Amino acid sequence: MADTPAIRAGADGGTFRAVPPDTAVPSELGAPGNQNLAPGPTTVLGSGGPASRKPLSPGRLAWRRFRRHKAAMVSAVVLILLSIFVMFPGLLTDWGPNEGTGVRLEGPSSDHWFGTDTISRDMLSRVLHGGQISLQVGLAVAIVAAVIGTVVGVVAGYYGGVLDNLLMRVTDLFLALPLLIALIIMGRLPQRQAWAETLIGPIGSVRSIVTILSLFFWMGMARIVRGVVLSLKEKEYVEAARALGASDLRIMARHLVPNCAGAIVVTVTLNVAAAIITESTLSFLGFGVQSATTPTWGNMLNGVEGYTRTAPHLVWFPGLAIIITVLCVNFLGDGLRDALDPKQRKEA
Amino acid sequence: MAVLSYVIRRLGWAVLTMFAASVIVFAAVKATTDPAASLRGPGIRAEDVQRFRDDLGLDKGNVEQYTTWMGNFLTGDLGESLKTRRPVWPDLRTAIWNTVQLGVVAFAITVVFGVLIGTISAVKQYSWFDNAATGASFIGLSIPTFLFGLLLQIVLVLKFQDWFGGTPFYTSRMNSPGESGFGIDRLRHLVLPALTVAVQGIAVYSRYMRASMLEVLNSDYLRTARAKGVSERRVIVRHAMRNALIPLTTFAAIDVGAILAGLVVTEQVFEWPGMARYFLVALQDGDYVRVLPWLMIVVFAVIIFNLIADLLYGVLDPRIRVG
Repeated sequence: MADTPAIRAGADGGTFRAVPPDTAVPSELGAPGNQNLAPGPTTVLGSGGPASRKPLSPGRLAWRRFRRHKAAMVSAVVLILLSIFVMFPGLLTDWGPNEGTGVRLEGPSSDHWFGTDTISRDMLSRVLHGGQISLQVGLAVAIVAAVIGTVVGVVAGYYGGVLDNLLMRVTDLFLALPLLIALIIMGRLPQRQAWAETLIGPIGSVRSIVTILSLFFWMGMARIVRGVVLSLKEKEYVEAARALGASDLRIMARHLVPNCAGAIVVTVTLNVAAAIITESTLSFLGFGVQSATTPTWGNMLNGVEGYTRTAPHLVWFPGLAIIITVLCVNFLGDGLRDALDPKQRKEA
Repeated sequence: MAVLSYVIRRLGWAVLTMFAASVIVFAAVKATTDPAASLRGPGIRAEDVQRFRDDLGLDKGNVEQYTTWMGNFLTGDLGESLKTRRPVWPDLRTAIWNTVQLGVVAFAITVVFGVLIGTISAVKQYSWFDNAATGASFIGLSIPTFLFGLLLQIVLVLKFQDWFGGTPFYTSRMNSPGESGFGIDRLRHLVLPALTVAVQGIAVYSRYMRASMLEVLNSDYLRTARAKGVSERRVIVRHAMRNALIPLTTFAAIDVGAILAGLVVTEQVFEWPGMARYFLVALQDGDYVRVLPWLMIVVFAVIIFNLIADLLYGVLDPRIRVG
């Protein structure tokens, strides 16, 4: 298993497969010629010279690189707008997500922009309320997984040796599991096991889905962080910190993790997209968040197979919500990679 | 000699992994299913439940239950369903066969299109085709498989019907009523689900092929071949593609887990009576007698394909052959 191709964080969860290193958008689509943008060092080093410009802070440099990625800029705006509408559904509709309107399976109309569903609920309201859960799950999973992955990665990379070997074998094991099936089985644990119910909440609850998804989303992060730490730990500044008597914990927390920040932010973003896809797939199959009172984009699509002919709007609106969100988050991740982690982009 | 010891070591490792995986699967299924669920209800006496538990050996030690089950499984005795009382193997075999049909066709589509698109993208790097393919694969990876299947149904079948008054494709099950077997009717049912399973694979494989092809195209031996006067077509097909395919081959073998996930979702969308539906129904029934062999077969298949990937890598690429 040692020779398997590099597994890229972010996409591995959502697509249930490893993704080759250059699945990024080409610079033509996003950031024309971002490689030509001379980054700081020369300017900063030459600040004593005659033609010195004011040195740019790393933050400003990153912003400059991000701004050039047009798709990422547009995506950021779309995501902000979407979040506002999802957080305040009242801006667009007066219907509640579980409120009956009296008309079943009606197509889009001026009363119900997105139509109504099989038991006459307003689809627009459900898409917006469902978005709250879908976005929450995506963010929560990515953040929890980032914490687990960062701890595993930094410990493995910093200590090396047996511990590194052990942790990386565990990572490989998790990567080898068929994700979707593992999630389905794990998701049913609270039904029969009281300890699981107290630990992760009842079956089909948002909390249980977030916990279980997080358990299968940390591996990409662990590998990436470990890789960065391996290259950093021999650097002089770490040596210096050690010579000054800094503890291992301090070196890891204060010197190594902050220097992985770029890679971590990019991976978290891509993981958000992957987690949204995975949650929607699970919920579509009926093993995700239970749909009785809590709509998500995924469980709104549970059971719509029979309606593609008579009421395609049942598919279109939650479906487009998923596609637009995931696409924008992925573009955002791509832009952030250009901005924060330019080394990761392979010169094609 | 080094090769032989590598193969043996790798085989031993695979057997060990299978054993570990089987224990985990057994424990996970035991922890998540309730065999007596079908007995719950009014008029069921405690003795009946107890006799049922005794028959299945549910009160024996975990280790004994595992060894008994594994012994039966390895000798081909899968028992009969708790719910339907039908023997497990014939139904499971049919389900596997149906899934294999879909899986093989989908995989063939994936490889052919993935390799083709990836190769053209690499040879004509930064052309409009390359950019379009890159954009398309980015979008393809952002659409969940099940959603792609649903959208295909709406766009290709229903709109098609509106526009042309008929459609060559079907959206559910394997055969029309009254039809059976693998003929034109089956193919018309097969196209859309196969495409659904394939689309994310095409997105990933074409990227992979492109990267691997670009690496080869810049190598010295290719320049040598051109300098010798080998035709450009031959250079691309015989010299470049053959080597670029090596990493893709191993990737494909590792990728079974992902293909499986695609199949699970797609069978649900298109009501394809394959393994996924078998599994989901068995799981809903809480029927561990049906769930366990299914999971074991899937997990073993994944491990075996991983093994094949590792061994293939050594066979195809002599540079990797290490002790």
